[in-house]
Amino acid sequence: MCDLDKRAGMHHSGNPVTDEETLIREARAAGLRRFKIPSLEAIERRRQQLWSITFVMLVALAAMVVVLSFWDKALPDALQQFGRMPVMRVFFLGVTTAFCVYVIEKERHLRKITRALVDERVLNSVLSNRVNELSVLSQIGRAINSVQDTSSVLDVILGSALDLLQASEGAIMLLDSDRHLLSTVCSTAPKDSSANTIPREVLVGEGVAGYVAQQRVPLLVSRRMDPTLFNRMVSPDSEIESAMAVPLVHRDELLGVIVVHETAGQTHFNEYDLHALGLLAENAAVTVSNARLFQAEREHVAKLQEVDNQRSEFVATVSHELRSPLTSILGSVRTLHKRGATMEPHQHDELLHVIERQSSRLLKLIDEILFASRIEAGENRLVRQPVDLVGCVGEVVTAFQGREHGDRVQLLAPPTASVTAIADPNAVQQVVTNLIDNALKYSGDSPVSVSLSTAGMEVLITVADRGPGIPKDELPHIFDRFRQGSDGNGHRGVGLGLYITANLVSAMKGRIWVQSDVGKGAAFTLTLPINREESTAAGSTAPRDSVTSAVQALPDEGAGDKRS
Amino acid sequence: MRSAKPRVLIVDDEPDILLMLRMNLEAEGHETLLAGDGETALRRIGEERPDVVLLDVMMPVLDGWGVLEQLSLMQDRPRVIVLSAKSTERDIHRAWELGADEYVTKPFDPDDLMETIVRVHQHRGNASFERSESSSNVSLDSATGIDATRPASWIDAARPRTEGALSFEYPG
Repeated sequence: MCDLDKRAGMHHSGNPVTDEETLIREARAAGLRRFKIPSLEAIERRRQQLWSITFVMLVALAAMVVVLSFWDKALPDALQQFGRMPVMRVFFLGVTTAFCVYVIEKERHLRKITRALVDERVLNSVLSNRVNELSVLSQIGRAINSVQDTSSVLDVILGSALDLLQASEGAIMLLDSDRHLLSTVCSTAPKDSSANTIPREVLVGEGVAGYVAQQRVPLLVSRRMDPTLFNRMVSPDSEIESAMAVPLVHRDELLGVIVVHETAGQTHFNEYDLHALGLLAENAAVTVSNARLFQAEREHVAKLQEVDNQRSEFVATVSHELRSPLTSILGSVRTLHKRGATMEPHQHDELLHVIERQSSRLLKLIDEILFASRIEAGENRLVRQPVDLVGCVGEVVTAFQGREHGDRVQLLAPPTASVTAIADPNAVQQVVTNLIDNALKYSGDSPVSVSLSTAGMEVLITVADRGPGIPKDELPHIFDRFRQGSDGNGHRGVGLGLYITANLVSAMKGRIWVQSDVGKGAAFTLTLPINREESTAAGSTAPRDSVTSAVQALPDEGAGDKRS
Repeated sequence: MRSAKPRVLIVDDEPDILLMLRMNLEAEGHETLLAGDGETALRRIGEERPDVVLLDVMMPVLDGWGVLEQLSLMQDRPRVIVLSAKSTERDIHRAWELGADEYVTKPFDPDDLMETIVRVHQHRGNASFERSESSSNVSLDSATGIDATRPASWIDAARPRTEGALSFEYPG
């Protein structure tokens, strides 16, 4: 309220607000009895009345004086005598004086009343402004409470500011501290309009908003009131007539700036508008700050939920994956128990083989899970040494050929010269094994080809199949942890094979990508850094099916196309 | 009355499970057929008319659900026992809705499975026998002549929490 008093007192300094009783008393004294609280119009009428009477009186007096002074011969004798009496002169003078005193007294009261009424009007307008402000603030409060979306709340705040201040354009700009600039997050100006005076981004220190962000003080500039300051802050050809900006500060942290422009030139902003904008800015700052906290918290929760979902999915998948080998093992063991005595020796052996195979599958599964958790804990140590890939990959393929379906695996184009990479030999074998396993599992009965080639400073290993391929929407996620093949074809692993593979490849400073045409097959290609000494000595190898041959430093065009 | 020894088609993409099951079934004197994926299974069902199908769910090319869907369009379809590593209620419910006769969760005891096969087979072969043997709430679907009541294991093992809702959800 002190602020309100200050604003009321501004117009009539030192004059306390007149109460109603005084007003009525003054009105009575001024001869305005019919009104309880007189209006300015009534006072005006009364004043006119007073002046009319005064005028008539003065004219009458003047006429009397003239007649008595110059034409008293025309008057009857009795009147002449009467007019020359000194008593009568004194009487006339007295009447005139009394009348003047009366008029002056009435006028004094009228003035008092007028002043009080003007005070009242000013007070009323201040109060209604204040009520406006309060209703805007409560509107903002409701918006903050009802909507959780930051931009909607900021829209409400900005809209209210423009309504309250009758500004033509405005914006809330948030600070991007990394780039040291303010960017508009919410603006009332039409985006495509050329008349738009709101920039999308301003550097801190530039223009009105930039200055406010830098100095952290409110600023009001007006072309009419302070042209020097205005021209320093606003470009002269701008349509802006006056502009205000207030910093959004919450807990000593500058969040941004709220800025409003006036282009029509009808109302110029004043210091009270700046004050009102400041009130709105406080709310905006709290909103922005809360919204940021809320957003951060929401993201955090979403992340935790995602991790949690992945974990429980993983547990479900692992338990499912354990059941398959266990079915074979337990089934075989029980069969042996019950029918072992009556069984032929080769059947006996077959069941023992089943148990052996499925047990090693379980073991592999457990190894994969452990390996993946080691990768996540960052405990995976790889050596970096020259590895002869022809031998290394050849060993893997040979090992497969001893196994079931292994005859589908072919090593294409064994290069004439040796291909040597800087890598970890065990990791290379594991990676190639995983890729071949994967291809065998997903490609039906089609052949799986493994090929080696060199491109630039890289060695390429490609494992390709002619199976159903990988659906487009799964391609981006294929190397994700716990990501499995689609439900549709029924084939699912734990979802760790390709995750481990990709991690091993990148740990060896290589890259891996997949190219797939649905219905035509999939090709996984990985690169490893070439062993320079070896490669320059031996020259590059010329793979049979590769687009690149005898390449030394050319970019790898073929591989680039394949990247998905 | 059907023959006591049904012809059984085993559908699974795990060769070791095929091997182990075939050994058991043949020791019991059943005639067995094998399929490694859903499409092969449908082909063999169409050509060789097995009595009972042991159906895995997670298979390449066409999975168990697909096979069940195709079978539901067939006139004289074989009895189906789903063998699955999944044991969630959702999966069991789905199998049941697609017309499976039994749901067995992996891993299982081959002996128990042999019994289930025989029971499922007889169930179909002689509905009146099953009805007289079962409790009074067993109903007979008049349109198909097939006992609409699921085997006891549906209620006991597979759908433990929806027992009360079973009668409501029965087809027909």
